Amino acid sequence: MSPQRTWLKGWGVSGTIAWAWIALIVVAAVAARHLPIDPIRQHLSDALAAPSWSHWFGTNSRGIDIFSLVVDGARTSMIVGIGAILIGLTGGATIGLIAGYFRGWLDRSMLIALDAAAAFPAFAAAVAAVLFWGKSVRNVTLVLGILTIPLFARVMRANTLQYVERDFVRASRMIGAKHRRVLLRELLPNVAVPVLSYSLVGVGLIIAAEGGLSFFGAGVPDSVTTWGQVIASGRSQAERAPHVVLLPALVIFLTILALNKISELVIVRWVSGGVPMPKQKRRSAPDEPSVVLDRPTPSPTARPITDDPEVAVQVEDLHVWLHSPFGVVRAVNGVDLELRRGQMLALVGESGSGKTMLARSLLGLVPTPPLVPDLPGRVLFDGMDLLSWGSKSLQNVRGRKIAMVFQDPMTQLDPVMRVGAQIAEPAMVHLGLSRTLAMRRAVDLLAEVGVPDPERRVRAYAHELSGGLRQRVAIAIALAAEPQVLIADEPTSALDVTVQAQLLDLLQTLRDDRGLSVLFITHDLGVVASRADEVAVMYAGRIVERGTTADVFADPRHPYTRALLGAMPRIDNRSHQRLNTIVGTPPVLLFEQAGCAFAPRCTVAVELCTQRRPMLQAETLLHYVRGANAHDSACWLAHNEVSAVESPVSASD
Amino acid sequence: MGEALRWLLRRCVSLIGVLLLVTLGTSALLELLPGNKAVAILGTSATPEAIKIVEKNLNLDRPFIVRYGIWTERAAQGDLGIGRDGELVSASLKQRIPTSLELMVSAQLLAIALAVGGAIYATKRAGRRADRTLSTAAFGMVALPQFVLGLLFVIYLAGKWKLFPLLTHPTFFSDPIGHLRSIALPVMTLAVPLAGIYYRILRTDLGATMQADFITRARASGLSERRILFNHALRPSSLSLLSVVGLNTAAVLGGAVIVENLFAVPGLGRLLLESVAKRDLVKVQGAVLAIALIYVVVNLFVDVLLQLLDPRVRAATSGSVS
Repeated sequence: MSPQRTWLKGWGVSGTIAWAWIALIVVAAVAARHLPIDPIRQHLSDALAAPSWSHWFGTNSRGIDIFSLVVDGARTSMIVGIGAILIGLTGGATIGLIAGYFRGWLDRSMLIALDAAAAFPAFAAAVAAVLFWGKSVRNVTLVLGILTIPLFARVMRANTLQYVERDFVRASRMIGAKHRRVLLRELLPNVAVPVLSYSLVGVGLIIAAEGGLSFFGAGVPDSVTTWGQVIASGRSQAERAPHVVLLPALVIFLTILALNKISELVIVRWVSGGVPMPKQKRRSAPDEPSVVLDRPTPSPTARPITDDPEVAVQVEDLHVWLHSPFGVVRAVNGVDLELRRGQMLALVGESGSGKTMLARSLLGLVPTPPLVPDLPGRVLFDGMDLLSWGSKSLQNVRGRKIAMVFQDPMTQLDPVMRVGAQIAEPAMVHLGLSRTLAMRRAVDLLAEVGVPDPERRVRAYAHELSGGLRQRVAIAIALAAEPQVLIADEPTSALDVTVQAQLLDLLQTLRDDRGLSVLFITHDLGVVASRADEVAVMYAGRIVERGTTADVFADPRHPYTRALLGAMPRIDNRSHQRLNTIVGTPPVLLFEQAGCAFAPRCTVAVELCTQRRPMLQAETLLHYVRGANAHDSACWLAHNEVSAVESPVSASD
Repeated sequence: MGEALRWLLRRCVSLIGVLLLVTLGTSALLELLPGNKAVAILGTSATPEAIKIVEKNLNLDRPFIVRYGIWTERAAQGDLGIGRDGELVSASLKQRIPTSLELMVSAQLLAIALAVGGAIYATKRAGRRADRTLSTAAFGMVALPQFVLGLLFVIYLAGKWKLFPLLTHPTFFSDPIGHLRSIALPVMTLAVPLAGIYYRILRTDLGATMQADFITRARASGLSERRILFNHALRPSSLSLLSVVGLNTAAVLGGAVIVENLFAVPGLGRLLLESVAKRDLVKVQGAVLAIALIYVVVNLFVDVLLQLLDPRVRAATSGSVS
């Protein structure tokens, strides 16, 4: 990354205006003495004159040009603002960094001190302090700076705490780096940006606070001009001549606004690593050129909607494309799938193969801003195309007809709601059960999914349960409204192997007992071996092989499937035998590839593979003759289009 | 329940620590003020004997820490001393506290209401024009210094358009509507910047929560967006807002001096400044104690509320060993 270049670019219109305004103020502050302004001369005949060509901001009660005062005031206002923030930043950041890093009693006592500081009427104290120690720029800056220390200490501590537990900091502590080194080299650079961004807000706060002090006659001495002082001294004439107050107030307002805006953008850009976020599409905007560039052509094989009672969900030519900061990601590219009633279909693929996007798009759960709309594809359920439905109508399908379980057992449950209430909710919404009935149902469901002691567990919170139990709860939530189809998106990947097996047994039981159709998504072919009825292998947004589990395992056709099987540890492998791994990484789905997407990693690829993409289709007649089993795959070699001479036979086993 | 009680007890102890620290700090600051205190009270023409007597009476001849000890002991018994005007400090506090509390609580509630309403409205329309407009408005509300905002209200709402009275303060019981009208401007002046801050905190947290897995899961369960927002997103998103509201208590009470000055409201902030100006140190200490006490009570309340809202905090505070 070249941070310098991206850093300067793309602040947006408001950011640029904010920078320009601050630049203007800084120029005024630095060069006020050399500008053709006159903050001293009294135009006595012109007192309280309204804004005009000769006095842009009008004049005050002594006939002094207010614009000149404001330009002149920028200097001291900025000196006080920046000076106080430097004091607060140095003091507060040191305290916060040390407390957050060493923690323990140091942190605890600092928290009490911070609490005390927050309980202390700071502004009144500032007024008192300036009045007693004397009105001077130095005193005002010092007092406001000291009172800012707790604010910075708090921000710094919070930011430090975020990093102290991160691996790189722990690692460098572990290898025995000196505290000073860890603090300065590892922590400081990471917490610097948010804290500096907060300083910009702080400068605004101080400028406002200085104005407040002037209000009580506790600001800078009368010989010096600040913005706050200009406004405060105009207070008594404000009703007769509002311009005395309004225009300087506007300057303060715009300055603080600009500082806050820049501060926010600094954080946004820092968090996004300097990559500008994609512009959000306005609603119902006409097609943007970036989207129309090369839409996929609908597959010519689209059949009329059939109502096969054996099929629960039929996916036809599904495309899911997403806007990303780097361009359009083609996550799913024309997938055909058939989930048969009461069966388990396993969708297998590496991370990044598009399987999760496929699962989410079945229920319209991919949010609209990144999703490229109006691509070909249908999701047929009960004779209807779910893709053509709006979010509102889909609500009657989600949970009620087709339910879903997600990967992460920790984050998919509401952290602040008892699990019983979460299970009861879909039953109440979809089945119209009363709260009491729904809660009773929740207990039954917990029992059904194998949660021990369900009467007690309905009252538990997610964080009180183990990962396996949480996943069972998630399944119970999914079952709450009696759906016919369950989509399970890697429900076992985050769990250990024994728990995995138990959960798979549970899904199998549910399939058998309830006649549930299960779409099981996983990256682990081994997991599905004994349990799924059918398998579909996905690679780069396409199905590359599809068939009954028995057929696919017995005779994998696609080299990718074979590689996946080869990468599976087996109990009957000889010890110390190397596992075959697939060399390379899955392709980035930003570009349309000409040939087979797997070709670059394929050990048996021939020239044709990189030129034309093989379709997913059954084997040629030859296979039947040879008596092999028949299932679909997308490989030129399996299709026998390539002669045996051309194919390097050695790679297949 | 035993653990919850223990937690409450620990929290109370640390809050008493806060009280002690604040009053000790104030005493120390007052000690630092230049000049002889007895002279400041009696004037420069006072005889040495008179000064001696005053010093004796106020324990000024004893070391600072002893004086603080004596003050603490008396304060714990409800005796906050007598001000220079001969008034019991507790009596003048009793007069000012209700006014200040009313201002603070109304302003906080108004700010919270605006922030919550706005943030929910904007989250429902995330990324659309209404969302952007509200976020700009919140920016503007934060960027307006309180004394400027108050002054604008005085000039326009009270002065030019005569929508609100400035100098009359009828009590709630004698004239409810008149009373509400009389506190409307100071409350609004306090609430507008707060609402801007609160809105931004809540909108950010709501936005982050709406991206969370459990929200997608709630959507996958077929719950309506409205239900998701109110039943699932709002509660976990309101935690940082609540802590900030608690932290702002003292700032709103003490920072109300500007508002109290502009709108001639007899509150704690003004008492504080008047007492400072008159060198009435006993009263200053009393007013600081009152503000800190309110802060401590509000924050205890906030802490309990946080515990109720977030079971994870409950687990972390009651289950932790260290």
